Amino acid sequence: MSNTWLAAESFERGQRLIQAVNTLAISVKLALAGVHNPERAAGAESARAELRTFLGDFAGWLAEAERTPARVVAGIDPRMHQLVMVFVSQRRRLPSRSLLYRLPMQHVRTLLDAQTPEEMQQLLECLQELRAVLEDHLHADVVGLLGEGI
Amino acid sequence: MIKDVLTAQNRWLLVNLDKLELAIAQVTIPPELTPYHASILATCQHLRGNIMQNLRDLQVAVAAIAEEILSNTQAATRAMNLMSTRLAYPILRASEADRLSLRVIGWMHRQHPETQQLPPAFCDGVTSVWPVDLPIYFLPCLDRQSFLFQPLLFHEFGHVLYARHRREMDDLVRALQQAIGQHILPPSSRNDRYAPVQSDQRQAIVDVWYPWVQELFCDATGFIMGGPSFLHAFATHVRLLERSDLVQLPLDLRRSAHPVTWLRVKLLTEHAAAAGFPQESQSISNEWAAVAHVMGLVEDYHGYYDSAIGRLVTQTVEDMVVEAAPRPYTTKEAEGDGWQNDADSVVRLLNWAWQQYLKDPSQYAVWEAEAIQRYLAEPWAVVA
Repeated sequence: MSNTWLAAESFERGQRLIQAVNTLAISVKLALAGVHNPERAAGAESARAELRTFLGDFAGWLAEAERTPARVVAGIDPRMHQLVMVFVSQRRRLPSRSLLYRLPMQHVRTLLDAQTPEEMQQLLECLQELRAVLEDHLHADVVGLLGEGI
Repeated sequence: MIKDVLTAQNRWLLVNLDKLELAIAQVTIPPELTPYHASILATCQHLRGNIMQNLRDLQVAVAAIAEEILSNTQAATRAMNLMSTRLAYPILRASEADRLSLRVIGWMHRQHPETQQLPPAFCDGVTSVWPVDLPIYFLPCLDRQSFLFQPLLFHEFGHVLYARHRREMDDLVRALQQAIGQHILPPSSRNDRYAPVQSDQRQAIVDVWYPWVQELFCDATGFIMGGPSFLHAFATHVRLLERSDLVQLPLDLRRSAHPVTWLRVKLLTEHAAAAGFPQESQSISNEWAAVAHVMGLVEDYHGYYDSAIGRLVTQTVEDMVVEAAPRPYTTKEAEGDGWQNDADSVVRLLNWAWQQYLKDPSQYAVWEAEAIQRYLAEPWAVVA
């Protein structure tokens, strides 16, 4: 009775979120470049819904983790808890290196529906950083499931 | 340059996918694996769609999306690796010896509306499950060929049920963790350099209870579905009698995804005794107490468990069981003896198997071989 279920679930979740980030980012970039594609718009809407749910939950966990004096974070699996703590530590770093860590998470969430070019640029900056942190985080799950290989 | 690299990688993925699909299509599989076979081919098609999209995106004259195509190509590569090294394995190495476990898994899945569409899939490995979109169950190769350890699949099915009820289950676990957090809160807080250490220890205790309570829920699910057959299978499976099964160092507890085995056995036997199996439960408890006595060990959970936490955990597991509603064994199924292959579920057969084994282990193999033949002789579609 091993614990690979934690890595398997985390891997599947990570892959899904990274693909949602990419789908939305491509759609926004193409829109900014004046390229419109109804098929991509439908995909982008699903990606928005996926990320909206995730960021909504994540905002709550982050708020719990940042509450002082230090309180416990509950109701999330250990892998997700590690991701929350990565955000906590990045947000405490000065100067903050990315908009994703400077903005309140609920604000990042509202950027998913960015309309103006300026908002879209902000969204792209957040998505880029989110993808980087998700890809870093996914590495441990890949190793847990597939090993480190040659 | 990057465009060339990404084009080459996506083409390479397509070549590999072609090979994999061909191998999957050509392999001979037992009938129980047919639904998983179809699902994996559909997953391959989905992956092909993603790779083709990457190739189409590479034709778009917007240089700014290169990083997204790169990331999508990396995701497709990871998916391909997972497919070839794990997800396709139940098909590529399928054997007749898988049929027993596949039937048990298929039967479990059919008992619940949330899982009835899931195809059964099975692979050799440490007893476990990947509770993902297409779950794969693992048992060691010897265990898969015997009735005796099939009930462990009921525990693994608990993880699948948890995943299908994740939001509600996580809420229950959250409430438990908060209650444990309150319980271990010291009467006064330090205001010196040890304060963060104290807080870190508290968080560690709260954190481990996320996977631990899921494991205890899965133990409860195993017993609820399999009755005494699960109790015997579990007690025999975990009877490694290593020191770490009885006590662990705080650092090991902190890293562990499972509660100490002795604690799991205690909680399971309490459950079983309350359900009407006091003799079996007492016998198992006595075995563990005897080993602990010889090793000179007493229970010590270093603050990760005490009687107050025990009460909170028991209540939470009961609530989780209500939420997930695993299919309970019936009185007839627990009786075991007298299983009819066209009328009774596999649970009765598994209980009968343990009765046979405990009655006379030396005669068991002969009885089991004949019983497995009878069980597998049923047409797959009409297995109860």
